Amino acid sequence: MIDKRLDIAECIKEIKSNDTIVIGGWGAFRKPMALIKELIRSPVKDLTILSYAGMDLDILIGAGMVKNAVFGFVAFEDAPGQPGNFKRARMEGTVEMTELSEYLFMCQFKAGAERLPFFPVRGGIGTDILTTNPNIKTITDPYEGETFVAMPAVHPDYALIHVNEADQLGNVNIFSDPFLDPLFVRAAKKVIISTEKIVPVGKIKQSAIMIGCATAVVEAPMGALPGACSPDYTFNPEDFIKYHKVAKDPASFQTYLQKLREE
Amino acid sequence: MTDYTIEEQIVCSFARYFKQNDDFVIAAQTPTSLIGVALAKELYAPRLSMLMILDKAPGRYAIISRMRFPFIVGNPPQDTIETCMTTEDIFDLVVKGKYFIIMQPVQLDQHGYVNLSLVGDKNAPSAVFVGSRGLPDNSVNMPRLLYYIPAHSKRVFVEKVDFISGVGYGRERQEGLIKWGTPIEVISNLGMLDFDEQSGQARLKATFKGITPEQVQENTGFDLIIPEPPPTLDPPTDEELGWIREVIDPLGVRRLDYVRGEAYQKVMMEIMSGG
Repeated sequence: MIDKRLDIAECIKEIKSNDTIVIGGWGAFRKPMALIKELIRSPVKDLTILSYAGMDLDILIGAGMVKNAVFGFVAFEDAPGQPGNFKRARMEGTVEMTELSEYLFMCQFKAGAERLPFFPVRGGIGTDILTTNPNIKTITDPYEGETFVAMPAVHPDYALIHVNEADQLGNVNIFSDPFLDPLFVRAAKKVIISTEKIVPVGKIKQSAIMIGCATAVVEAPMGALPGACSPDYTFNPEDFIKYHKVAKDPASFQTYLQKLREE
Repeated sequence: MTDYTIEEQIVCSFARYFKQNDDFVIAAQTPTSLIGVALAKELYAPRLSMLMILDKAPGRYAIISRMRFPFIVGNPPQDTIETCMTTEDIFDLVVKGKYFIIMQPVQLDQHGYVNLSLVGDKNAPSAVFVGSRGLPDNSVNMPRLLYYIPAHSKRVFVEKVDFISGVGYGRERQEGLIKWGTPIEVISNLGMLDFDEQSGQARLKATFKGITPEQVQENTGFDLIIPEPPPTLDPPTDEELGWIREVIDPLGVRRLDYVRGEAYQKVMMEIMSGG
């Protein structure tokens, strides 16, 4: 039987500079933080990162690895604190920023997953999402004449997601909100899954992601920390407050980063 | 007539905004707006489904009934949970026109355009916020819009927003490019605004207890249409006050929207110690 289990360093070293990566989860919830921490040990740069972002994108920006940040929002959601590296990069213009609405963000994956060139969306017309993203075009409905945003498809090189349980084939259980992870997986070329727990083949009765899409499965208990992975654990607000303080200042962030790399 | 506080009047204004047949899934994000929605569900709009964050499985969100304060955010009492739902369910509700979120934009302008993204130059902003999020979609898919500004000031009410996250009354609507999302109304800590449908210009709809139209205008960065005579607001009824004070919010969580720093800590301590 196929066994997709891999060592975390082994699968992350496949990621190359200029790759496009979608990161699963939402804000402070079920982010594949163990994979992110491994990624910052790698020398790659100029990544395009797509995320309903929290600390994941913020750390990668702070590590100088991001060329283009494509986001539906950037916030820690219910956890306290703010993404200091993202804010600084946006103010100073050091990273290309592709601000999308949450819905447009999803629809680039809908198009990608269905092998369509774009997905028509109402939201965005009349907003600066369109004026700041001139590559996003509009289209006229051939039946009724209504104007829609034609959100272009994306096919990321990698999707990184974190789940509650996975088997060696890459079937997974997600015991809380799946967010848009199942869609990300369908649109991506390769999928790296970190999991709280590896379970025997046969235990997962209905995989939360499409069968056969996983490229690699990595066992990473507590792999979403310092964020939450419901119902296994929630976040500790103190960790986010600490991060907030560190990320506010470039020098202290670099010290923090160095420590993370050596962990 | 029973005396009342400005917070209670704001709670009632949220509640009265909703009507008998409103069957939205509704998200409110502050004590006053939440208590207002809970009051609406009891008195005026029984078909509303109240959405709450839920930290535990199976979904990120719960639909709850009989909301009573206080409770811990993310952990509403089990016996109030009707069902759970996911983030993708919310997106489905948005495009169906059944999602209603009371959002708090960073800026709101004279034509009802709103900003949740950044302040200043788009390429070199002086302040950065969470991003436009749901506003581009909410503002064209929701059956109507209600924004909440807990601290009414010229910093928020600006002539023109620096980044258009949500669409107001403008060219797109006049040209018929957008189908839904009006009328737009605003509740602040000073009063209520709506918009003249013809000109799309912001108009004073009401002032709260002890606030004059001049005070609202002084704290607004553009000229408001102020009807003559200035609009008045029916005071909270004894029935509304009874529900707020005795049933939904006996400890006065509603005060938290309008206090900062030490005053906030003091109110919080009072609530924690049971009133």
